[in-house]
Amino acid sequence: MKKCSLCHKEEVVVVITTIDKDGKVVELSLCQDCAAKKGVGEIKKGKLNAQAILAELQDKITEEDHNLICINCGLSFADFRRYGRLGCEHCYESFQGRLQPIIKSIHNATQHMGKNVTEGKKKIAEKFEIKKLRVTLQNAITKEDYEKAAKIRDQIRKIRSEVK
Amino acid sequence: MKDQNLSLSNQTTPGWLASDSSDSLTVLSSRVRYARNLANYPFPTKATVDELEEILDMVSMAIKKEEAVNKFFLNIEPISIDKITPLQAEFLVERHLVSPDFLNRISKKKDSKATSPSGRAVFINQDETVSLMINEEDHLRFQVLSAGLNFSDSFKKLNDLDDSLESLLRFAYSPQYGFLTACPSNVGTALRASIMIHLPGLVLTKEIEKVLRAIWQIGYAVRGLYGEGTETRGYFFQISNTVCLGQSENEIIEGIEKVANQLIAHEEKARDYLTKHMKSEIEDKVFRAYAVLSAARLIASEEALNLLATVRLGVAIKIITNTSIATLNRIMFLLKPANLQVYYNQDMSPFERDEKRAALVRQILAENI
Repeated sequence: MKKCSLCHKEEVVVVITTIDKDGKVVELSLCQDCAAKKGVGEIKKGKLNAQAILAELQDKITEEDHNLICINCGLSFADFRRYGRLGCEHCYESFQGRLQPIIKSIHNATQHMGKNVTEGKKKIAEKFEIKKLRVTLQNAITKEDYEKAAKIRDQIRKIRSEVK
Repeated sequence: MKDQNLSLSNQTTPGWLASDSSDSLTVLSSRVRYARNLANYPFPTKATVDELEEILDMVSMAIKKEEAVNKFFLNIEPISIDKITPLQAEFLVERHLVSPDFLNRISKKKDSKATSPSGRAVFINQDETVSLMINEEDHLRFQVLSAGLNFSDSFKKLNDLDDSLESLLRFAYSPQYGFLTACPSNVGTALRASIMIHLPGLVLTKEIEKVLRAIWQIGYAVRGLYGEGTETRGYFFQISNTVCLGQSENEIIEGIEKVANQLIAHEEKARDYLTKHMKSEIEDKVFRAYAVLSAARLIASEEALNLLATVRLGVAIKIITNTSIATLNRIMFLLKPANLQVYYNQDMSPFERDEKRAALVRQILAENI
């Protein structure tokens, strides 16, 4: 449990980032009482920055967090809470219910409004992938690594069948 | 070591610094960056060495062999982070071409023994405006840097590079969350836009806390010279958007431009106040700083940076006329520990650095450019 950076006794309830009179950025972790004294009681959960939100995740990791595991990469939600980083794109689905409130608190939104990936270009991407795999295949053959070569050949076939 | 050329760049100072517009009086540089991940590969922290190398191969091939992307990095070979010296690595951080985290990540991996440090590289174009890190926290992180406040050109360039890469590579994307990133704080547009701004007026008039707090409250982060977790020095602040999701790329750019313009206006007002009401104090401060820089025989990089920042204010409010913002910007980069050693092409002890640094500042200031 992290202790308050002012009284060094009570449990931290809020982390505020502030600037001192010299313009230096300072992070303060405060308990309920010290926060109230500093006049930050009202904004308690209001404007935490992303770092503070992610830092807060490290507290009180539960059994349930250890058991929640991404089906694709095997990362547990507990590990995400500990390190603040996801393991793969599928973590977003695997942890959807738990992740959405975190994403909302950082961005104050849950829907992407920016640019899309262009579906039409997919074929070029696939052609490029095949081209790249062919180079890797050639290298594997030169090195007489036939096991790897066979794997790459299968990958090329798979992409080809998807294009059609 | 002596035979080897330490330099990773053909320029003593970054090419993008060359322009000296009026905005540069306050805004040192603008930066935009996208984070992208390839579909079907785990993010770098979860990827195996083989996967990291495959990602590196894939992206390198797109950049080197495909016309669409190649124009951004003409005749450029990637710099493999595992093959450079700590000094060269530090040089890249000082030039803002790689993040400190890109290098730290490697030492962490070394300790854990689990994976060997490989598959990490950076492409940097000729004038250092465009750089692309492979296998940092995300598979791709690319940025466009420019001098002064200039988001329109740099963002267009960044977006063009993204479109070109996207035509060849399949990015991890979901209709709900947009571009998927290792840290949920980047998800969505995965666009981070930031400015490096010089705010001595607001610091000296003690208005800085109020102004920066207001910026915080509308969703912008304030950091030191080298980004996340670094301290502010020499009145330089890095301001960036924290929200990446729920806004379009253009809205994010317009937002940071608006914040930048507000900060410039506040800073100008503060500088105005200084010249009108604190004339002697400011003149004293500026001339003392100039005097130390023109006379010191030993100077540490932090002291030099703080003094240069004060002289920079002096030039901006026309107290000092025998040097320019452009010169000071150049010196600021040259005096950083790794840049200084690369400039002289030799490894130096801290003492030797302080000596050479003092001599170089005296020399450049004496040239009166």
